[in-house]
Amino acid sequence: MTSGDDPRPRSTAGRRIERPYRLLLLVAAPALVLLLFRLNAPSTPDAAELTLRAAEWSATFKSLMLEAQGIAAATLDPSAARPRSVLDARLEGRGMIDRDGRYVSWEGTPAEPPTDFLEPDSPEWRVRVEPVRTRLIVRAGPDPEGHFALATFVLRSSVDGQRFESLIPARLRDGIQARLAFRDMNSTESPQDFPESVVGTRPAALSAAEACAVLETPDGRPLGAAVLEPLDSELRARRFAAAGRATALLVLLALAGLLFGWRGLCRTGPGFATATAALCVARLALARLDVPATLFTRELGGASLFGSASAYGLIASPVDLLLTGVAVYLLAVATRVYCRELGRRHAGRAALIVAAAALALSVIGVALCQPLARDSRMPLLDRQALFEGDARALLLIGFVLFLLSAAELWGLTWFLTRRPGAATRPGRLPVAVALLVLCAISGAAIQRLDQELAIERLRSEFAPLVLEQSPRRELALTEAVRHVYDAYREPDQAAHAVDGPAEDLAYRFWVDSALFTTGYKSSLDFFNASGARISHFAFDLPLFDEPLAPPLDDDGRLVTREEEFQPVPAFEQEIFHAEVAVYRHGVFLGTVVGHVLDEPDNLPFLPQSRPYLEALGAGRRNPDHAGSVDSWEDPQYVLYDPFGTLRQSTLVRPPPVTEALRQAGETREVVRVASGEDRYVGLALADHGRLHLLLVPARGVFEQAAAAVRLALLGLVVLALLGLVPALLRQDGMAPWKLKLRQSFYSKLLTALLLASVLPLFGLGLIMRGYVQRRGDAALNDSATQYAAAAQRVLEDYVAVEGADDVRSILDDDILHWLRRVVGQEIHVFGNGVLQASSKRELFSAGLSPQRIDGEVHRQIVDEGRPSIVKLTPLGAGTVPVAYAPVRNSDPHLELVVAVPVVLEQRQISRAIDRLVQVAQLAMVLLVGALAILAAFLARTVARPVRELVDAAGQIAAGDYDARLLPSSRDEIGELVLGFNSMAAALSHQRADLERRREYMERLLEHATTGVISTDGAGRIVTLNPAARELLTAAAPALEPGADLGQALSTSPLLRPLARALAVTAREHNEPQDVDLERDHNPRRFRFVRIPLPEPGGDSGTLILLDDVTELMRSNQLAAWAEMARAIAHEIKNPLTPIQLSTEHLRRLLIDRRVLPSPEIEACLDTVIKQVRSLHEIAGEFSTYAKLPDLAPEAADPVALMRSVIGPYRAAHPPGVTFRLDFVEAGTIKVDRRVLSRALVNLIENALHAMPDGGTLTVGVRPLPDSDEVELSVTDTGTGLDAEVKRRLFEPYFSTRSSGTGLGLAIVQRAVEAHRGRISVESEPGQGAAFRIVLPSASRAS
Amino acid sequence: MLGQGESVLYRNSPAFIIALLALAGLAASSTAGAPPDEGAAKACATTFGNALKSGDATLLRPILPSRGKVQMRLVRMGPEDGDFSASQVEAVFLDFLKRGAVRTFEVVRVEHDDSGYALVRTRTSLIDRSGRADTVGVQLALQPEGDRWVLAGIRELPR
Repeated sequence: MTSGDDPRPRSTAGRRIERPYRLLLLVAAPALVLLLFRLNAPSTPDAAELTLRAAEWSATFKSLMLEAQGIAAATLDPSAARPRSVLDARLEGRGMIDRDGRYVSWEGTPAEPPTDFLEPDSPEWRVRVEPVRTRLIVRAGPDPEGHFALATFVLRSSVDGQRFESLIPARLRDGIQARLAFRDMNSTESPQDFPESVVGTRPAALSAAEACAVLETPDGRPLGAAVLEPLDSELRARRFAAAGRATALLVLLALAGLLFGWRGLCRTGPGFATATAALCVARLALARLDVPATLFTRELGGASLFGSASAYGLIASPVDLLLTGVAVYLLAVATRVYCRELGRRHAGRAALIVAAAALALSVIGVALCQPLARDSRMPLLDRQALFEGDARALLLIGFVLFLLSAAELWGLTWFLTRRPGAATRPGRLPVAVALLVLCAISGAAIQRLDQELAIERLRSEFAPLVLEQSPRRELALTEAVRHVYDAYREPDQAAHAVDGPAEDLAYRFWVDSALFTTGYKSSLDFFNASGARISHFAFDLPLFDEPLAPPLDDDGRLVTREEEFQPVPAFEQEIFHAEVAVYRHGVFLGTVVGHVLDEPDNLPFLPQSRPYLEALGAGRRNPDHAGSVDSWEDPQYVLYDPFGTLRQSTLVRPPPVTEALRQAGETREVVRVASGEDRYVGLALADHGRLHLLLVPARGVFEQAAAAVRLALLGLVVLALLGLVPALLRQDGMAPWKLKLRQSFYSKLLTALLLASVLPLFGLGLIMRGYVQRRGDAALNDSATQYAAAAQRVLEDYVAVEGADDVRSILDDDILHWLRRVVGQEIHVFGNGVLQASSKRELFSAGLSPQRIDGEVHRQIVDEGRPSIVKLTPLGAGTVPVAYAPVRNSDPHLELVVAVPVVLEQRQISRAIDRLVQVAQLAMVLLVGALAILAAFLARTVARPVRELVDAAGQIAAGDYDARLLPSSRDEIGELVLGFNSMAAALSHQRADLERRREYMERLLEHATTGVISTDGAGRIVTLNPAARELLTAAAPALEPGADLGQALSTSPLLRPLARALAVTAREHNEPQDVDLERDHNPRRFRFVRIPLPEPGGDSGTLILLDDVTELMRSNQLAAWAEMARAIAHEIKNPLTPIQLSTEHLRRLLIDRRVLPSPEIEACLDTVIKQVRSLHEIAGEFSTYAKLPDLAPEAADPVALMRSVIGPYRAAHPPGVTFRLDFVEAGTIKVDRRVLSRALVNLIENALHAMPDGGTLTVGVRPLPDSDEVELSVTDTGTGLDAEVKRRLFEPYFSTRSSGTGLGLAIVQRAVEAHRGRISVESEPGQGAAFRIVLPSASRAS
Repeated sequence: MLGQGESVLYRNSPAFIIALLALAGLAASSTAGAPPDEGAAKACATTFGNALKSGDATLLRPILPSRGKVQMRLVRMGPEDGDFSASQVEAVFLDFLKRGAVRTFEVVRVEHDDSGYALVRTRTSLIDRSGRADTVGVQLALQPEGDRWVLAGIRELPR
């Protein structure tokens, strides 16, 4: 069964829990989560709680006031210790004020002292309510020298999203929201009535579910009020319930994966279908339950930054796109698992399925570029913004997951077509390559779509603004003026504008109108019923003093006209004028007058207006949207008059008018133009002979490549993280990767090369980036300083030319309006640290810029006399670089400082830096890519021979001694390969030699008659040759290799003497030792030798040589006996002849001397002769035994031979003896008839002697079965032999008879052995004996 | 059809009139049919209101531009501030209408000139995302696209 067939989950949890319990857990856990969320649903504070909170808010506010005073007092006594305060971050500025109410010194930008600042009952805490900020002004002191301190704090700011509520501890804000109002320091309203009036701005009275916290000073003066009300409980409950549902769903998915094992599940078709269905259902459920929009901020979970109504809500927000991307990726993983398993059985089908899925995902991924580009408000692939903001990151990661899903499947397709059925995992390189390709296509597609959308936007949005500019300006103005009229007729529709301070009326209505949203240079003026101006606001327009028309009726009719004015002498401009009479409840309140500049340079998208519009609009932006995120850059605009003269251009080097441009303008075609090194694309618009160009930067191959590279980088990062995170979550963490790195020379080399090449490059990149940034800053400073110097000269010249005593009187906003045209930038002039005049007064009147110059700037310019400095200065929510320079004048008591904000230059330099950094970034990425490829090539080139060497060494280690390598170079590696080949050849030869030796030794051991046993240091048998086995295993079957030799021998009683002998002589090596054993009931003598076998690093083993020397000993003994018999025969024979001769001579002498005959003497002589003859016979037998006869072998029929031998005995008919012949035809034998017959006679004689009382004597001949031998036997039924006799029967001189020499059977044995035969006897006492002679057949003997 | 407060513009410049006529001709030449009139602008605004009142943001599709973006500044129906694609506008209102509701919608005034651009001031009573009922002014900026008005801007007027 393959792993794929195993239906059991692979996770540990899944294995431990049975299926029914798993199902139960799967249902119960999400249900428990839902229950917990339901039980812990947020509660709404009740009325009592709200009242308590309100009291705490009031107390907290008083504490804050004291802390603020402490911060102010620190100005007078910097050494005084004070605790840190939340207000430290809100401090705008503070300073020391002398007895005359003027600042002696200050830091930051504190507010100007109120007029009643020095009066005895002047309030110590005041609030200044401005359109975009509410400030707290705190007084401390006086000190002993009479100095006061004044500090200014920001209580709330709609510009940069600073909320008053964040000063209150979080526990007091939980579950409630506050409606706040502060009483302006200049308000004429009675302080005591203030809180009620605040409440009264909303529904008439507080409801039961509301409480009012009076925000008053420690001395009891109310500065503001906060109406606390509970947050909408239904909304909170809905959000909490959605969080519960989302959590339950996630728990369900996680548990399903954990308990049932996604990977294991996906290996089968039904499992894969289940997983796919589960993923789809889960994703749709998240969308249906509206989880992203409920749980996340609007930027992440809503369509604010990205969202599409299409695709069933699957891409309705960045989080939705991310979730869809995750689901698609998991689906791709499931497909990969399933198709890999399928590929082992049906590779073709699996590859087809995966390729189809990969193609579908690729198409979907690339198609996603359209909504990504069109339905997003963020620049997705711009360098500056790639990783800025959570929403963008989520969006891009979600999109990359789509591409990665397709890449995963393309990688698997490649794997299945190349290596179907392989057990290894598909590599990541094909996936990375596929991802890079998809990212490159998508990145370029997004850039291309962005370009198309930009042109589309030029056509649909900006072209009408240009071609219909005058009517649109007029429409915006009339709509704004009419809005004021409507607001006073129905004040509840514009309460904020109508009810605010009178002096800010114009600003509030202007910023609410289309004049602001369209960005026109315009103004609004409010006049009371008596014709006095009560409020004025102008954006880039001067103040017009003109007579009002007589009041019109309350019918909303507008008075409109075109006018001309001269901002500077001899320079006329057209403006559009609109006014309306304002009534409330039929009572004439006054007149509202609006103006809008009706000139071609009054277009809302022109860059000189944009930063200030953004700053001015900050106060009307919702605090939740502290900054605009729209990525669209305003277009460049060029205007030519009918004569081809340049009238307006935002380009430094506008293109010349050509006939092609004019023709394109007539047909409004897309044009491509160049401005210096920059390329632009846009629209040409012909209008009454004039030619307008609306241009956006062209996104060429470079930009598309840069975007593709950025997307590819992001894709690779996501790919790496998806590989890294599971590795980190695994128990063994990064250990496998580290091990792989350690084990692979190629990986080490590649890593080292990459680090060595890429790290310095990154370092260089960082240094270059810093250098470019510093150069940019320096260029900006130079430019700013030049502007400041120009403004300084112009102002000094102007002051000198005017020559007035009172310099203040000649420096007003109108003059700066004029001077700014000379300088080319806005100009502000500060006198003694306070704003004197400005060409952009609206910034200061709206509270967007501080009216007092920064203390540090003033100190450096005035006190230290620096010629100029450049400092980032707040403007709305951001900062702009402002150049400051002193202005010489004739008034010694007036220190004038000119300030020039360099907004456009900052943007241009920033854009140039961005472009430069982008080029450097792209170059670096390409270089890193090239280096990586080069490093991989180098590492592979160097590591390949090493790898081949390792593989070849492995082959040799595995026994393949024919492994050889071809040297691919002549360097050290080549020499190494040659050396390896030589070494392999030598090893091969040695191996063959060893093999031959081994075979030789094995044969030797196998056929050696000497038993060979080798043991290791522990006494275990290593080698046991057949001879040793033959000698010992019959008695000790456990004697096998691996067994302990001593124990195995000891288990056998027969071999125990050998075991003892081995143990005793353990230390006496090399000396042969004999030991007597019994084998087959016969005593045997064994001789052994112990030879030590040294083993490396351990106890020495032993080689034991073992021989059965019984026969050798017997042969030696027989030889000794034979020698002795020969000597005896020789010694006996020598004297016998003289004795016999002497005896016979004696007989003759006695006869001659007539002594004889004497019977006594003759008897003696006969006895002597008889005994001498007997001794002769004995000596003859000795001689026969000692001297082995010289055989004369000849072929003989054993049956015939036996018949010839037995024949005489049968003829003699010994009494009582019966002869029996038992012959079987047995071929021929090659024997010496005489010798063998004598031996047979000897046996027959012995048999007849053994049957003195008669019996049966049987002689037999038969061939031995399965052997080329013949047996001759002589069997009697005589007295038989006991064991001892039988054992010694063939020993010389052993006889049971008193008359024998004991050499008969010994001679028989020698005769038989001389014929290479053997003799044995079988006998039991009283049961006769059987002698058997076995001789080789004639064929074998020859 | 204009209600009370109909704009009466005093155009005392012949050049202005000539320019307007020229622009009108230009606009006529650039579109397939005649530019939509004020009545159509009001109908367009009414379509917007009906979509919100019915709670079905898909009804906005006929008055969403096929090209370009819609500038939106919403407070009670948002908060949203910026330029949105047509599909994004639909998604934003889909999201709002899941949590809030529009009870009434009334066209207050239509400002329109011959240039092919209209501003429609409306009054809307709604329930915002936090469940709070309020009445706000909403200004719709319309521009012609072929023979129909489409939304160019939706701006909620601050109270």
